[in-house]
Amino acid sequence: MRTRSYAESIQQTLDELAAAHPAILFLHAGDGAGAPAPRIAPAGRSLPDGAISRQYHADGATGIASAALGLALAGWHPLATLTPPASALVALQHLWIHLANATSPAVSHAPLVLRVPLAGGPALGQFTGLGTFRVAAPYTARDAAELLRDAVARAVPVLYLEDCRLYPRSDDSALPLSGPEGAVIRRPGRDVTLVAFSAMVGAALRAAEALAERGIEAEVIDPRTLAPFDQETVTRSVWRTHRALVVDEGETPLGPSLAAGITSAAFDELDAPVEVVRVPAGAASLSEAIARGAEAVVRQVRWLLGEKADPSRR
Amino acid sequence: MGARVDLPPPGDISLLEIYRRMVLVRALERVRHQLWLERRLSGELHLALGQEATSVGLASSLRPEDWLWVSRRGLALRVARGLPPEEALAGEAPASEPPAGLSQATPAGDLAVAVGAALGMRLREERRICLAEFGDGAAGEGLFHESLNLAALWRAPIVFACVNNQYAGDRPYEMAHPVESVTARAAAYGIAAERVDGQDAQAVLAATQSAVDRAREGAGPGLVECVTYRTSPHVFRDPAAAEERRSREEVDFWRNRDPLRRFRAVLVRRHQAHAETLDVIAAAACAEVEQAVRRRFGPAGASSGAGRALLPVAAPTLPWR
Repeated sequence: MRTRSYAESIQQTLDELAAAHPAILFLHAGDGAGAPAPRIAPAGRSLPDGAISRQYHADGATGIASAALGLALAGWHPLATLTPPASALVALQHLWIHLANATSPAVSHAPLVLRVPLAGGPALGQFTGLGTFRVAAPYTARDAAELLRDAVARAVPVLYLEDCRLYPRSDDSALPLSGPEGAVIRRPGRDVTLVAFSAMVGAALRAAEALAERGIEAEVIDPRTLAPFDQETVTRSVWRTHRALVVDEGETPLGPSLAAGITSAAFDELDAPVEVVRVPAGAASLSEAIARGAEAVVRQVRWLLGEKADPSRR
Repeated sequence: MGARVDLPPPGDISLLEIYRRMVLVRALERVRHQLWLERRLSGELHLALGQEATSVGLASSLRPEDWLWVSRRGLALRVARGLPPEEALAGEAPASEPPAGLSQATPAGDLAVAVGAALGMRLREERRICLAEFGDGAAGEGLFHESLNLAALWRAPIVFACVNNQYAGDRPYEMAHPVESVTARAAAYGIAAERVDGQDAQAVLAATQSAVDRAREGAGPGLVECVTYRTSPHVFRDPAAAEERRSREEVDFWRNRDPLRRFRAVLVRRHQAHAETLDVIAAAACAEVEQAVRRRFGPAGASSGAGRALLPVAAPTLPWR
């Protein structure tokens, strides 16, 4: 049986929220990037007086993100989709200033969700460095739905980062339910821990298959939320493997920051420094991103295990 | 947040009450300056001295359930609306009123947040509105334009209240703006806008009240531009430094258009109030501020500089600067 795709999961969750959530409002900034949107009437000039729309479109991600904060303060639960990613990044930095300087808990606990459809790249990791936001980055279709529902259920600002390259992807039907909290071990292994998120989970899994052919068992951990980051699951994994790599697509601040965290939490158990696999950004398709990522991971793991020369010095 | 002072309903505000609020915010700003000089207040100080007619006129058209968003020079608006002086002496930078409680992120940064809140109010059909105060400098920022665009698009019940004191920092208005007024910019968004003499409290109140009423009735956003002048420097950072960068002649010109003395003269000339009544009101407002200082900083706090700072406000017939 074919399960729902990543895009269909988001679509269905949005439709459910539109139908059932008493306070949800949908805002869209920019062209929408082909991201799923709830199938309800948008506000427009044709909307009669007195009619209330739950869906609003405009340009200017910074204005839309700020307005979402205002709507949240006024008792609504806005879900704003910010496109393109570069505009979203500017908008979120602006919003961060508001949240970081707020003198009222109403602001730091404002119930709003900011959806950013992107295709990996430098933007993804940048978002996570902002602090104050809860950050969800689903890889599976099931998580896409579950983490989106969870984002709306939480009374805090949440960033929901969806990788557009994952839209057509469906889950293996054997995928177990995991709940909205904590990291998930996507593949167990004893030799090295690979921490990867969003589309890079696919790359890490592909790399693990290739490594298995050489007798190397890699454990793949999908943190699912980047903030909070489930350090405990990763640390327990490192207790078994004694080696860890963070897979990061593009030159983002996230990789080094996670690597430093793992080093600090599991220092006594590590047999090697925690390295960041820098996967070149800019892959347009999921298959290309996975191929690039898997190649870089395999190379780095073989070096880590002494099979090969340091890839950074080639 | 302490108990709010009982205010007369908007539209009903008396001339004497307008005068009282103007004295109150003048007294408070003078005392804040004095306390800052004595290093009892820390951080940067942005005073709205000389802008009392604008501060009171803008703030006095709101109902208690409306939301007021202020700039870093906007503490006077909150006091004019009923924030107890003691609380006004508590913090550093003034924040927008709870529940928003935002400290201004960038000069135009709060505007779009206020637009969102206003849309939220309209969608609940609450007949509440937002009034967002900002400086002339904010009109050059991108978010000012995004905010007007969104407010007009969504017919958000918001009044954009521009306090045009003709300087952004020490930079004169005309150096940074290609159009003569902030009002002119509103036309691009189909937003009704009015430019008023910000030294005239009644003119500010009338223009604001009509914009507020229209927003409340569902006619969409409005903009009021109050042309005023701060008679104190832009910001106080270092007690040792002289920070006034405008010409003495210009500052003196505007000190001679002092909104408090002007309003007082009008009331007396039109036989709308006795000078003695106004003196009693002024003395009472100053006593309120002095008491707030005493409660906040102990008896010594009031006896040192605060009394001196208040004297010219309490006895406005004396010559003073």
